[in-house]
Order: sequence, then structure tokens, then C-alpha cells
Amino acid sequence: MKKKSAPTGARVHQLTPEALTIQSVAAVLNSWREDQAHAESITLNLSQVQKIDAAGVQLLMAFSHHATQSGKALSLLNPSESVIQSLTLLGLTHLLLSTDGKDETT
Amino acid sequence: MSLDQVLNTFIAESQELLETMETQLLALEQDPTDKEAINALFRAAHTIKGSSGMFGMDAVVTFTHTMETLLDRVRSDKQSLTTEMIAELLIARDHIAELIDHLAVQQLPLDDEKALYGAMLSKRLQALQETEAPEVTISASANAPSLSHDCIDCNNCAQNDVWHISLRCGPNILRQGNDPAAMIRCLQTMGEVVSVHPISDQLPPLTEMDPETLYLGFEIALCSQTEKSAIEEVFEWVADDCDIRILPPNSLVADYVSLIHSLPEDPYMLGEILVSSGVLTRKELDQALIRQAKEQKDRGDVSKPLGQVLVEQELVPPPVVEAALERQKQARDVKQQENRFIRVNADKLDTLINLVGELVITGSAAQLQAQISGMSHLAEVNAQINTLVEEIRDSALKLRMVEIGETFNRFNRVVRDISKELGKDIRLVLQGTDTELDKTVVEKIADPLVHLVRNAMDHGIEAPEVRQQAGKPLQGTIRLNAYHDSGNVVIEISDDGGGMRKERILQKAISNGLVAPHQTLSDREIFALVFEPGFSTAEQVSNLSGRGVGMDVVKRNIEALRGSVSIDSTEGQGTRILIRLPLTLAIIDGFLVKVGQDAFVVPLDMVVECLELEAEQTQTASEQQYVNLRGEVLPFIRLREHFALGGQAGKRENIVVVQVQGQKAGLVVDQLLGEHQTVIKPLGMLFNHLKSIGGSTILGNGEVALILDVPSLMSRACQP
Repeated sequence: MKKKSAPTGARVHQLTPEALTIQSVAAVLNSWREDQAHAESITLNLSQVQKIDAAGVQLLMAFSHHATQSGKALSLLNPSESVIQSLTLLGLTHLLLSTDGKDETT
Repeated sequence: MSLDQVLNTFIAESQELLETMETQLLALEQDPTDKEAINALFRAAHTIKGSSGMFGMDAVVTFTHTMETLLDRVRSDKQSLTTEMIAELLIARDHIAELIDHLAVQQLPLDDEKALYGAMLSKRLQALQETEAPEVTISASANAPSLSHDCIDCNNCAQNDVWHISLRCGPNILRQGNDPAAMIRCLQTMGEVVSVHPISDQLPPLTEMDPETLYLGFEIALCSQTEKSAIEEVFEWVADDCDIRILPPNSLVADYVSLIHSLPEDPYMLGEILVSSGVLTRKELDQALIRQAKEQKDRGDVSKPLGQVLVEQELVPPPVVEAALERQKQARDVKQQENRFIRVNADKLDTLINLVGELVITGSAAQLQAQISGMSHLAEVNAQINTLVEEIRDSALKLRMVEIGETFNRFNRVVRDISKELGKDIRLVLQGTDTELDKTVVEKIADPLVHLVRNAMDHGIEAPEVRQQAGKPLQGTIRLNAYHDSGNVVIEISDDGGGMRKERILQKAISNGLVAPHQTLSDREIFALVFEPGFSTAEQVSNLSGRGVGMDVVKRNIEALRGSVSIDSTEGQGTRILIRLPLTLAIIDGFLVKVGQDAFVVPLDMVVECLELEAEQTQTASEQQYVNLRGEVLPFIRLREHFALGGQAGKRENIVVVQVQGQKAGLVVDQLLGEHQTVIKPLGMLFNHLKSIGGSTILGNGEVALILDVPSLMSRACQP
């Protein structure tokens, strides 16, 4: 898993997980918790996600809720085909629609 | 359980299922829209397919699958059932029976001939399917990369086929390696997942959540024509940890209510009704039952009706329960209990009945001793024991009793097939199907019955043209009737055909040397001639006759069951064959009498009354061999003379009035000892030729008593 801070502007927490499954969700959440206090927005780059299961979907929902409640921005960047499929299957297309799919940092 | 035992269970079960298939197919021939029959048929095919798969009988699996596919189309209203299909399905059923017999019973490898025949039948079944390939659509939707919310393959399903599934999984489900997303993906293969609504009320803030715990619930709408149990199977692995409600949509409730009302007359428990109408699966029923028992235990209050429990758990909408309750009440009124069978080895039953037999004998001995001892307390206790023994005896014997309907129902097929073969239109009317008799008797009577029915159809019922000329309805009728008559079961086979020609039979008998030319015979005796070995009139030769069971064998089989057979026939109007059989072969209630030192048992059912043979009556009687019984002529025989027992009659003689088939006669004996339960022990081979003795029994004091064969004694008494 790669982790990097956004180069400019407000502190942005960006994660680029390769999988969002029961095996990896704890690690993803922990890495977010490490510096979440400093982040003003959450960016998840989902382009590398090959596998996503219900645990991953649940985590994405939790991120979404957190963003809404704390007024921070949530970006789901470049969702991979498997992410789109799973979110569509589970009736969560609004998570995709709430962000645009373009990666603004590149 | 060894493999052999499992195989035996499989064979017995499949034979039952095959019988069910036959019955349902014949019922469908009358009413092709009978949903319940189609479902039963499908279930039977499905079960056979499943269990034969377990034994690696691929030929059965493949063949049954073709049949099942066709039935499934009928069941889901994709095509309607035609007479042609029923005929093919009957042939297919026979083929399955043959395959199972070949592979499982005889354990032979499949030969080419059967394989080819099966393949040909399969083709014919497939040809009956209206062209459309349902499997293609299923695989297409399974592979569909993206989901559209339009239902592709079921535009016609509207809202009607939308199932509602509520999924609330346990928190640890993810850690256990289960993935609800995968389950929902699996649902996609069964139809179209119309919508999924994740329920996230329980989802804690990101800072507090444990990402490996599942907080989400799902509300799923699935458009599918599948069965509820199939949906449930998807969640089978997680059922213990999850709360899963699978509900048909509201619009369907009315349908289920009407389905419950349209169920056949068979009784079901409330739960069974709901299970069979598909509103509820067995698992939910079991859970509800456990819950009901648990609540009862917790509160110790009046038990809550199962219906209420189910409604509270939101497992069934109230209208469905109400309709089911109504059905259940009707079912209770009819008082027929089905579905509660235990398969028991017949040997075990026989051992039990043997033991009960010994118990009866010993009980009688104990009572005798108690009476002799003159201890009133002992006698009293003994009387109670005897009452109990009697009850045990009755219920033990009832275990062996089966309704004859099962045997009768087979004849639907026999009559259907033979009438097609003969080109005659014949209908079968069954009466008294709930008459019970011993399983052994039922098994052994089946073959003679088949022969008699075949005969009636072949020789009895005339060709349609002849019937028309005779002014009879074109459709011939065969009646099978069973009823109880004074301790016997009577089975009646009657037809409205041409009847038997007395002269022809007599002529034939004379030319065969069975009867002397100038002998006078009663009608009944003439008809009885057809039971003689080797007797056959010219007309009686056809491809249906000569199947190895002649009329003489029929008679021998019936007599082996201590039964009798007689024929009544009116030329031009029809023939009626009466078979009288004992209810059971093991125990009878007897009436104990003594002649000199010898004890005899008269079957109690035949005893009407006992009188003292008065001195002045004896005088007239010994000349004419009858007494005046309240103005009625009562022929009698003296057992002392009949059995040549010797000795002098006592001062007082008694006459036991017996009745068989409405005819009365008297048996003169010395002493009346009263009622006595008797375990019948057959006489040895040596005594087979004895005409008036039906068997023997051992009395409580160790003495042997002979059981009288009253009907044959009667025929002696009534002879002029």
C-alpha cells in the first residue's frame, strides 16, 4: 500500500489501497487513523483495487459518513472496474456519483 | 448404516416416489391444470434425480433431468400439459423404474439396449419442450458484466416475481470468511437483482469502527421465478449467524391464500401448509417451533399458537396464516393424518406380533389359573391385565393394517393401459379404498386382483360396437369395492360386460370330464368351474391371458390366505367376483366349545347365538337334520358325528348358531366354554387335506384346540 500526502494546499489524506477486503481493511483504516487529525479531506485512490468485498464496501461507506458528518471532503478517485461493480451491486452508486472520477492530483 | 442399507432405503423411497408419479400423472390426465399434482410430480422427479446421483447412477440422473426440465416448464407456466406429454411422461416413469430396478436392485451395469432406449425417450421428451432455451438466459445473466435495472430475461414478470430478502448478518460473519457481497452476487445467477439497499444504521463513526465487523444490513429485491428454498440455499452457510427473511411480494399474498384454499383434501399441519404453499420454508418453520417451545418454557403461560409466533417474527403475513388455519381446521375435520410415517422392517413387526400372540396365550392361562384358585383379587387383576393385553394385541395388529386404496390405485394404470391396448373405453370406479386389512394379505392379493381385472376387461367388457348394439353405454365400467363383513374383508370386482355363459362353461366342463353329463349344478357351482386347473373356453385365449397366472392359481392364492372366491354373473349384464379374506392371519377371537374331551374354537365373528337343543326338538331334528329357530329353518350338524369322535352325547346338548354370507346353520356341541382369544397356528402339511378344520391353537392349560373352518362346515350342513 502506498501512502502520500498531497503536495500542495490543504493537507489531504490520500490512500491508494490495492485491495479492500477483510484482510486489508484494518490496515487501510489504521493508516488513515495515524494522521487523520491533520487531514482536511480524504482522498482514496481506488484505481489499484483489484478485490473488494463487503468489508471494503462497508469501509467506503464509513468514510463517506465520516466525511459528511465532519464536513470534510471525500474523493474516491479512479474507481477500478471491480469497485464499480461491487458498489453498483450493493446499491451504493451514489458514493461514486458524489465524487467525480477524475484524479485531480495528477 | 451400511451402504447396503442406504441403498435399500433409496430403492424403497424411489419406488414410493415412482408410485406417486404414476398416481399424479393419472390424476393429471383427468385434470391437467392441477397445480398441486404438477408440483408433486416435479418434486418426485427432483428427489429421484438427487438421490440416484448419490449412488452414481448417472443414467438415471441424466434421464430424470430431462423429465424434470420439462416438468419445470409446466410448473412455471411456460407451457401447458398435454395428453401427449402425460403419455410420454408415463413411459418415462416406467423407464426410470426399470433403470432403478436394473442398476440398484439387480446391480447390473447399464446395457446398450437400455441406454439407447433411454436416449430415444429423452429425445422425445425434449421434443415436447416448446422451443426456447431457458438455460442460456440464465448463464447470460450470470456473466453479465454490468447490471442494468431492467429485468432482461423476465420482462413479463412485472412485480409478481420480485422476492424481498432482508439480510441481517451477525457481526462476525466477515471474520469467518463469508462475504455478503458474494451471496448477493450469487443471487444474480438466479434472476435479476432488482435493487439492493444497504442498511447502515448500525455503522459507527469511522474513528470507532472495527473494520472487520459487519455493521451493514441489506434489503434485496430479486426478480426470479425460483423457489424459496433455492434462495435460502444461497444463505445456507451463514443461516445460523444471520437473520434472513425471504418474503414473496405483497401482491402474491392473495395468490398464496388462494393456493391454500385450493389445496387437495389431504390434511396438513399449519406449518406444513405454509411450507407446501411456499410462503414458509421448513427451516423457518423449525425455528418458529423452537421459539414457540422456548417461549412456552420461559413464561410457563398458555402456549402461543404457532401462527401468532410466525406473524410476530414477520415470517408470514397474517392473511396467509388465517387461510392456513382454516385449511387446518378442515383437515382436522376430515381426520386423516398423513406425512407421519416411520419406516419399520416387517420382520420387527412380525416378532412383535409373535410375542403378542404368546402373551395372549399366557394371559389366558393366567386367567384360567386365577379362576381356579378362587382368589377374587387375583382374578380381578388378571381381568385388568387381560384388557390391556387385548388392547396391545389390537394395536399391534393395527400396525400391520394398511388401507387397500394403495393397491386399488395401481389399477388406475392397469386399466388405462389395457383399455388402450384393447381399444375399449373402460373406466375404473374405486370404492371402499379406506378399508384396512393386513399388509401380508394386501401384498398377496394384488396379483390375483390384477388377473381378475385383466380378465374382466378382456373377456367381460364387450367391444364398443357390441355394447352399442346391446344398448349399453359405450364406456364400460369396472368396479373395485372393498368392505368389512363379519370379520372378513370382502373385495368385489364387478364389470358391466357380457357376463358368463353358463351353457358354454358347462359344455366345456363336460367335454373336459370335469362334470358328469347328467349332473345338475347350481349357477354358483357352474361359475366356480372356471377356477378348475386347465379350464379355459375357446374365447378365453388372447394375448392378455396366459401370463402365467390362471384362474386356478388365483383361487389357490386366495385360499392360501384363508379366503374364498365366488362368482356371480348374469348373461348380458355383467359379472361380479367376490373375494372374502380374513382381516388378519395371526389372531382371532374365538368361541370355545367342547365335544366330549375335545375342544374346538369357532371364530367368534360368525357366532350369532347359542341355544340349548331341547329333547323333543332333538327327536324331530335327528331325522330331518334341522331345528325350528323361532319359525326359521336352521340346518345343523353334530360335530361328534361329523368328526367321528365317538362317545355318547351328554344329557344336555347345545347348538351354536353360526352365520356366513347371510346363511345360518347350527353346530351341535356338548359344552359351551365361552369366548377365547386364539392365536392361529397353521396345521402342518400332513393335515392340508382336512376340510372342516382351519387351524389349531394352544389353550391356556396346554391343551390343543382345533379351529373350525365354518364356511366349509356350513356347506356340509346345507347340503340336502
